[in-house]
Amino acid sequence: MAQSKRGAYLFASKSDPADGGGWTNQQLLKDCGLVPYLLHKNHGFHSVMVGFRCNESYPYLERYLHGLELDFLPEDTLQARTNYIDSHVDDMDLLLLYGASKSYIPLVDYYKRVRPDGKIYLATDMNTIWADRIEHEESAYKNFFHSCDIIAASCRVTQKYLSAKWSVPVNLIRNGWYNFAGINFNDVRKENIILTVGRIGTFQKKTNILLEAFAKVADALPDWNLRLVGGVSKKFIPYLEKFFAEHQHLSKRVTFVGQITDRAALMAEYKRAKIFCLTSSFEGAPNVAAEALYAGNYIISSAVEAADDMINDGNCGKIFPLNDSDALAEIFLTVCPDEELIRRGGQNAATYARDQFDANKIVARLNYLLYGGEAT
Amino acid sequence: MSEMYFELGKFFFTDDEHSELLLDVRDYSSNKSRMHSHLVEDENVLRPLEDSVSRAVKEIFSGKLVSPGDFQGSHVSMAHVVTCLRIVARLLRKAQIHTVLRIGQPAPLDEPLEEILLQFNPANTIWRTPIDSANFLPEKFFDTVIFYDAGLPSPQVFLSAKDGGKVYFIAATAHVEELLRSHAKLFSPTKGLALFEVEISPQLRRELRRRTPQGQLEEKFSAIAQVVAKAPEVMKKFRSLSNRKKNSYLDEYIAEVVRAEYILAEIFPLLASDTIKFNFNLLKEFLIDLRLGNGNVARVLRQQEILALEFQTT
Repeated sequence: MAQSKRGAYLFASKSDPADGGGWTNQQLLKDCGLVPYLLHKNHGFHSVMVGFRCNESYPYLERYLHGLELDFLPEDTLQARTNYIDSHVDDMDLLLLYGASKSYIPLVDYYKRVRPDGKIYLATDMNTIWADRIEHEESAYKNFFHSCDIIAASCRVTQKYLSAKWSVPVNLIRNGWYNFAGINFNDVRKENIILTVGRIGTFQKKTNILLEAFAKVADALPDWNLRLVGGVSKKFIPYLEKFFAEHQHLSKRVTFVGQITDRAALMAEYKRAKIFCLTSSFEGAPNVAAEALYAGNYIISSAVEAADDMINDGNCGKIFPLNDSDALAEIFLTVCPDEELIRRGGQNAATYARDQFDANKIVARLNYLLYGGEAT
Repeated sequence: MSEMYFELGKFFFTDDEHSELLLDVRDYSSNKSRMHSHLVEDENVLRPLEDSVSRAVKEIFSGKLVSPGDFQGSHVSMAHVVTCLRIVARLLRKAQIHTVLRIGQPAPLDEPLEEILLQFNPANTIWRTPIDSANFLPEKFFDTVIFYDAGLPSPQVFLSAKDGGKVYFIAATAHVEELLRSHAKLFSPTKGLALFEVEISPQLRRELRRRTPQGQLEEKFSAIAQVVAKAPEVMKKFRSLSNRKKNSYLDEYIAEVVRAEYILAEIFPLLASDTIKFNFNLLKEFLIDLRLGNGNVARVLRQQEILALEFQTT
């Protein structure tokens, strides 16, 4: 634990959970909750997430995130935020920001005025397409970036892109994984399962690509099954009905598990699977990557920006072109029969995960970036 | 020593017995001017010039070329008028000027100066350029540079003279630092003002170059490159230290790297590399990993090699 107690406050940029605003119960276990939580648990911070009530209750807070606090603003206005800062100014040593939202600009101006000695961490939470929408040459944005002590991207591609584009240093702070449920990884027993986890059937996740690719190879890989974990989008149901009408023989080999909120139960799915497959058309740095790597999955990913990070430059996986079910099918045909490739890739994945996606190490690095040698 | 003064905007200057050409203007407020030129050098050469200069100055002060209001409160401009004409006279006497490159916005003295130049030597050529910034001056180009303005020239003006070339300017002596004064001859020092003649030596050129935007950029870049170059030596020492001392030693070097990273970010838009900032950040990241017990020296050294090469080629 750190020597002196500093206060770390993470502000939600907006209130609409459908727009990524926060906070929802689900978000608490992702990087936006993980960072303040581990700053508290491992480094002695008094950590607070300041946002908007998006769920009736927050069971994850009590179950997994002891010591992390949630404060709710009465309204989504700058005044509400500055009033909050005023009443917590003495404790607010560190301001955490999630996403390079324009709404943060006046907040940062205000914070810097009342706490000129305070530090600011900005997790950009973006890919390069979103980055291109930021008016980074505008003086307001330039001042905003220069006010932040640490700015971070969550994958190398975005880090490199922002480094070339913005006139400030950009660090890598990955979306890490933390073993909330005390999961044991010594009892891993792999089965011939291709797993995907996420919001099934949304435009982003492109689950149809996975289903089509699996259908193409199912006869050639009779021992393999597909499991899909996550809630199914209602708009996807008609597609599924049509798919299974055409591929009736796959109904027993394709399983929709549904949403799993229990961390141990979710990781059990990863631990069973030999292969994790991501078919998204775009992503920032998906949280599922760290989960799959920790479980020693061989990773097959669409060419999203974080793909190279996920497969560690080919040491634990392969990439296929976006929206290309034929290319994905080809990879299934190459990888699935190759036990040695899967075994070696899975071991590499597990080692890589513990080196690069351990949330404890990631937050320790962030703490050092912010406070240098006095942080340890 | 005679004492003369002209009071406009509280300006006061005196001559001394070594001055070559001195113009004294009195009673400007009454709109009368009495010109007195005092020549201490070769009068046979300078006398023909005297009339031209006197005429030009008369025309200026009578409001024909510029209005009196232009000089209100601008005491340096007054000396500037006098001194520029004086410089021209001296240079013409040495018959060294054949081509004049007039750089910058038109000024009130252009006409009389050009008239003088052409009268004295019709073969003189005057070229005008639209360049209005010292940043575009070529280096080591001119034999003689007359800084046709009041005050201290920027480093680029000095650098535009050849090695051994001369730069003339008029400025308040208190504003001219020791570096330039040690390389300068002073003429007609008045109360606080003097005409400076600076000869550009290679040594002075090096010092001045460091003050140009390009020179400052090169200096900053070189300082950052040195921080990078230190890494192998730092790693060697790190390995040899006891565990107790390793952390604080590495903390110091990382702090140096962090400071350098901010300077690199500042000059990055001027560098011909898209990746140098990213690669520098990787070096910092690997150092921090090492410091926190998650990294290794080999990774730091590999990244240092990549970065050092990039610094060489940028």
